Amino acid sequence: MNLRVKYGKTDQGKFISHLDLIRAWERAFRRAKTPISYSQGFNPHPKVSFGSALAVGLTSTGEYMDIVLKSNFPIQEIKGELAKYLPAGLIVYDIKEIDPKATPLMAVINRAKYLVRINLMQEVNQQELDNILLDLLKQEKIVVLRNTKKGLRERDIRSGIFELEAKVKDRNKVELEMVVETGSGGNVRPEEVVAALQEKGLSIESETINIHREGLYISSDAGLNTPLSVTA
Amino acid sequence: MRQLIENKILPKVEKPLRYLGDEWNVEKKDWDSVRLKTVFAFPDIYEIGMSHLGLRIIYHLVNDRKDFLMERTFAPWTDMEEELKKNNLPLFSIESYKPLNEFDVVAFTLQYEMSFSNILNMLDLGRVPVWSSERGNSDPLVIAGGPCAYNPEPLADFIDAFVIGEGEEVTLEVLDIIARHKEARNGQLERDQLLEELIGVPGVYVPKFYQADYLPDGKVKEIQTLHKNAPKTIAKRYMKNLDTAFFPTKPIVPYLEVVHDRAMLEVLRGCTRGCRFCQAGMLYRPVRERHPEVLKEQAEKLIRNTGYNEISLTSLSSSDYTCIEPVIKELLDKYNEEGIGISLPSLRVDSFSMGLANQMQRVRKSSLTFAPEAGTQRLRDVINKGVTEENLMQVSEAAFREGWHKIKLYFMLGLPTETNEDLDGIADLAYKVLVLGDKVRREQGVKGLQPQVTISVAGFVPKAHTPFQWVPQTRLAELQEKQQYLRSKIRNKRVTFNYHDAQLSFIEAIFAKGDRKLGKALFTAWQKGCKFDGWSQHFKYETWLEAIKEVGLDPEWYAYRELDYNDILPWEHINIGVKKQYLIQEHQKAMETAVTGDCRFKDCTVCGICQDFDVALDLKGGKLGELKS
Repeated sequence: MNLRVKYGKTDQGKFISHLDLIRAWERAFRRAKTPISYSQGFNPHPKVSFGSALAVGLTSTGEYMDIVLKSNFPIQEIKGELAKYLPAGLIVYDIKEIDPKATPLMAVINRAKYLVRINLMQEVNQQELDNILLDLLKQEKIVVLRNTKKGLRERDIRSGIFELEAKVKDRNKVELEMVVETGSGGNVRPEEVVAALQEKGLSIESETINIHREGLYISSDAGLNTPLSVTA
Repeated sequence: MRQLIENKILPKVEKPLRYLGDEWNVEKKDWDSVRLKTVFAFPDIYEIGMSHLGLRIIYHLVNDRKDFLMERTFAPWTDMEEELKKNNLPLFSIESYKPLNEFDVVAFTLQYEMSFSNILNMLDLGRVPVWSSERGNSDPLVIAGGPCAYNPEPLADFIDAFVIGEGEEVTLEVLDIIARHKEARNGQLERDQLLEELIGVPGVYVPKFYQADYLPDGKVKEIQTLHKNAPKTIAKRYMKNLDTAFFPTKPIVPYLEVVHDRAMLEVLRGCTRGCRFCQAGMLYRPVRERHPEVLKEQAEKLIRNTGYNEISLTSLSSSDYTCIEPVIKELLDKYNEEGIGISLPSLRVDSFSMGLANQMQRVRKSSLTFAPEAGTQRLRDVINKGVTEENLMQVSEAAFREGWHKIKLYFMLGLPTETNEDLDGIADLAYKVLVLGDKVRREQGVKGLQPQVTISVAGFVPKAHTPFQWVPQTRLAELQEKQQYLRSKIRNKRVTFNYHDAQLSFIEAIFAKGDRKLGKALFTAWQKGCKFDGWSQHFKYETWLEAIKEVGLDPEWYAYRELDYNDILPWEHINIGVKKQYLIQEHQKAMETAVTGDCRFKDCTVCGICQDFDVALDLKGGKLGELKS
């Protein structure tokens, strides 16, 4: 039986790195007696595959993983037991059965939605804010520098930004919402978008940026689907 | 404070999880409703501290008491220290983010001499006066325990009270007294009075009630007690029965990968092999084993409560456990299907039987480590390491046959009576093991990885309370020459040679056999920036020398002084149960290259522990010799 799990990383969990996260889940499954299937060999690994890794420091309410069980088991029971045995910082929202032949999460997820809360050093009004955004989005290219295995490389992230909105919440507090490309086709990091806005003249206090991943999605002609909805 | 740290500081430091304290099985209690607030302070980073079984035992022992609270703090890595200072924040506990100076008790564990500078640094960062004499009634009581507390003198100026011995009982006795003391005084500590009360607890050493006087040559003239109730000697505390001793079966499961990231099951305590260099072997006598049924029960709870995929059978020498084979077999049979492995961290070549090798076939294969400690039989007899070349070869052959391809060998350099012949012996042993590995590989049809041998060599540091406590350390220059000599003997790509920093061993030797005068040197070294001395990138050898000399002491005198049997030792007032006369006899036998047997195999060696203390050898599988002939 194959399951897709939607989970989140709360404020307490945002410093858990992806490798630490994998271990934390493995231990939680064991404590909760989730009948998970293991690989063969001297170092058996639980059969778990993750969507897209979340960077350290980010919270999320929409992470996904697929797990393989040894046998059929009531989903509600698994969810209930897991909730009891999860360490602080992790939360399970939903679990659904998927077709064992379903395309792996890694291959289908291609969009990520982020909420970014920033403080400005100088107040702006909504009109000024919108202008800065428009100014950025009308560019054909937004070039960022990225540390890759082959050294510093230039990347254009403009084509990977699908939605970008900003709202003045309170005086110097601004909330950004963005849908960007993620997954095997390419990756846009929310902090790169923030840095590009900074270059356009938005006076962002870099110490207080708070980034939250709202969810991971699969885009299609009909719009954005969640990885859970495509399994139903 | 928590928000400020989480939002502003943690995103900037390496491995923020070191400072979060939100792990599974963490103990969080209501700060205002407990009777006593204590913090366990580990003078190294989180990953090392959380690998230490002692921390886990004491932490859960204290927190199992509803009315007591124990939190944790670790030495902040240098990036975190910088951030704390920049933001004018104190060092805090990772559970409730309280500064150290808001606790009633700060309890350090002393695992290693070269972590002493971190203790001073942590107190200072936690806004606790570093000198015991400068602490007032509103400051916490600073206590310490662990193996280095058996020679407490270098820290006597900084620690209010030491707890000597095994902590399972005495810790709660000490905390009960402090709690009652506070309650009788409306929540206030009256430091002087409290320390007087603590003298009454067996195993507690309050250094301010003792004074060491020195002879003109620097040796101890006399250790006087300054209080009528202060005992002349402080006898260590010990557990008579390991089966009924507290053991945590719901330990914290770190998020961060720590050094020993697995469930720990303590199969026995103590070791009577009688290696003459080994301090732990003298301190933790006699051998007390845990019953297999108790271990199985604890293993089951550990697995269910932690979710770990590995159980480590820990002790000073786990292959000596009389029930090791049946215990491993049963644990493997029971848990193998769940993907749970068993590991054995400390193996002796003379008790690693074929039966064990067969069991180990089902255990995870990484590298296998053995410690012959010296290169020739003669020198192994001097140090009483009852291991033969034949043992090593048999075990290595068994290991190669069972599929291991990497064997690690530990040795010491600068042992008493050592010559170049003994160093040649180290290289020879390494080659012999390699040749044997090649032979096995050929017989098995040249499959798999080529055999490899790693030799790891540490400089010998004479330790207090051992038969070699009277012996000078080998001089630094000579130690370095020996390293170079040995290095020149090893010319094979498949033999890796590692050695410890000899300068670090030199400073370690000074403190291992140090006296109270060294406190000032430690303070000066810390003020000059010494910390994390065990980390090569932070160890400042020149600064240490400068600091010791600046306070008028001679570093060489401490490391190289030859002590006489009649000398009063700086740790003479600490009674470990093993008699001084026994240590003298062992030292003499070493000089005659005569070996002493293990009381588990043969007759009692009358070391003193079972004669003078109310405790006895406790083997669950009968005498060792009868089982493993």
